[in-house]
Amino acid sequence: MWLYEEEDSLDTGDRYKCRAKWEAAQAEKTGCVPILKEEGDLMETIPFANPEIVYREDFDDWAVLFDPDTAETYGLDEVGSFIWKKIDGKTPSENILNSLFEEFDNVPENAPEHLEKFLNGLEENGLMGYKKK
Amino acid sequence: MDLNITGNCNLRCSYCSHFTSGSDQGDDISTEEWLRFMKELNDCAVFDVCLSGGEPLYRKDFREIVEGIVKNHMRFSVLSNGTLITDELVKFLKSTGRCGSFQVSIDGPGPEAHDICRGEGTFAQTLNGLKILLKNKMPATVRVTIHKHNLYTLDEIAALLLNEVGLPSFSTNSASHMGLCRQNEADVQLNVEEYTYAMAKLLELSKKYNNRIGAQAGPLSSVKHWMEMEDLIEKGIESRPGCGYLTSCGGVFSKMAVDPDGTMVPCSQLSHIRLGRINKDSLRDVWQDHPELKRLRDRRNIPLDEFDYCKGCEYIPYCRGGCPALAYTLTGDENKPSPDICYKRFLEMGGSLPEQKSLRVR
Repeated sequence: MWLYEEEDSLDTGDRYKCRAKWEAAQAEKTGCVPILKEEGDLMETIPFANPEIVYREDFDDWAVLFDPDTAETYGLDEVGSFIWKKIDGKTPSENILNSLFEEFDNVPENAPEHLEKFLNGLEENGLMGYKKK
Repeated sequence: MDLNITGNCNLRCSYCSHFTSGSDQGDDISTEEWLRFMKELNDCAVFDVCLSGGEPLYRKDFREIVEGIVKNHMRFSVLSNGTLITDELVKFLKSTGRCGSFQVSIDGPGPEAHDICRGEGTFAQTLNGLKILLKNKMPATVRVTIHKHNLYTLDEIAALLLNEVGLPSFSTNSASHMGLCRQNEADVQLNVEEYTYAMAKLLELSKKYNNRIGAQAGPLSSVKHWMEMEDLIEKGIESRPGCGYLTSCGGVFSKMAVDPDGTMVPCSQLSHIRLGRINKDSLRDVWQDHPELKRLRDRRNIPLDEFDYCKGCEYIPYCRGGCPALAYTLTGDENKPSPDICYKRFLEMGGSLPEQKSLRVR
């Protein structure tokens, strides 16, 4: 998987990172420079959402993510929705992990692995990317 | 959302459901109004819009509207007569990557059956438009509206669209009772005998072409629905889930429409139920709280045996009452079953199903 350096800050709104699976034209437009992410260095990352993805809240804190480019939809349970709302390009993965322990009961000890697997799944489906902390 | 972005059209098809209907009033709203509304659609997390009219390509700002959709993270589909398609426009639509489908209307295997209801020269224009879509690998679909003048060309239509053009499928409907069709009824609308013929022919073609002919309404939909009713009765199955009440319309739970003048309505065919005005009334509030939408959603609690004509009908346990818009058009009340989809009425008028497997005495 790939980390991408951005040339401008996300706040400019002009450029953002994208992942290898997104079209080459997008990569060119946003000036992505991919960097190989090492396994297990999740805590050194800040996840950021693909700005095209639409988040729709549903009942009981569940939600749906919609990718208008692929027409794919993804369901998020309560925990997934909570995490998604923290993927804002500013909150490090480490802080997201800590907030899980604050928000939920009975969080398993291997929560970091679960979180990494979840975030990697989002990344593989083009819903988010990583940047270096 | 179904967005009827214009009330104008370059054609006047004799069975058009738009002209003279409830949506055919007021002026088209501006580009700015549509773009502002796109933002609200995004705020409400709307995924998909369907652009129609009138003829959506008639609008000079069609590209701007599409750009507004894309910018607001949505996908779109288009319902068009197909006569105004250009290569340049299709390339633009393709470049957005957001077009789910582009439907055009073809009513005949050639100009004779098509142009008679749609206008001289329209078959050639539409076929050209379809070819442009396919050349650019757009997700093109075709709707065939069946009427008196193309009824006996269904074999040739299927061969044209599925063999010659090579579409994976096409959909069908019949000229309904709405809009211009009401005043041209004698000239276009199928009578019972013609409807019976269409049902049999479409069923035959559907089998021949491995289910590549679809329908959500009209003869093919009716015949499947009614044959299933007979099948269930024959098997002794007492009822079908969700039937026995006015449950046919799921639209009010999943979508809304906006008329060309900016009025929010439950559906393009229910324009007499005015829910609000875009950019003035909150879409979220209308969708969640408008009493008229709630009333339409409660329609599914109305039992069919409450209606005099339906009382005692053996098909009630398998019937959902049909389209509320057609019910309104034909009876003046959307909270009634639609005569259009009534199997009992069809039989009483002399209709019959093809391929009857049993001689069940009624």
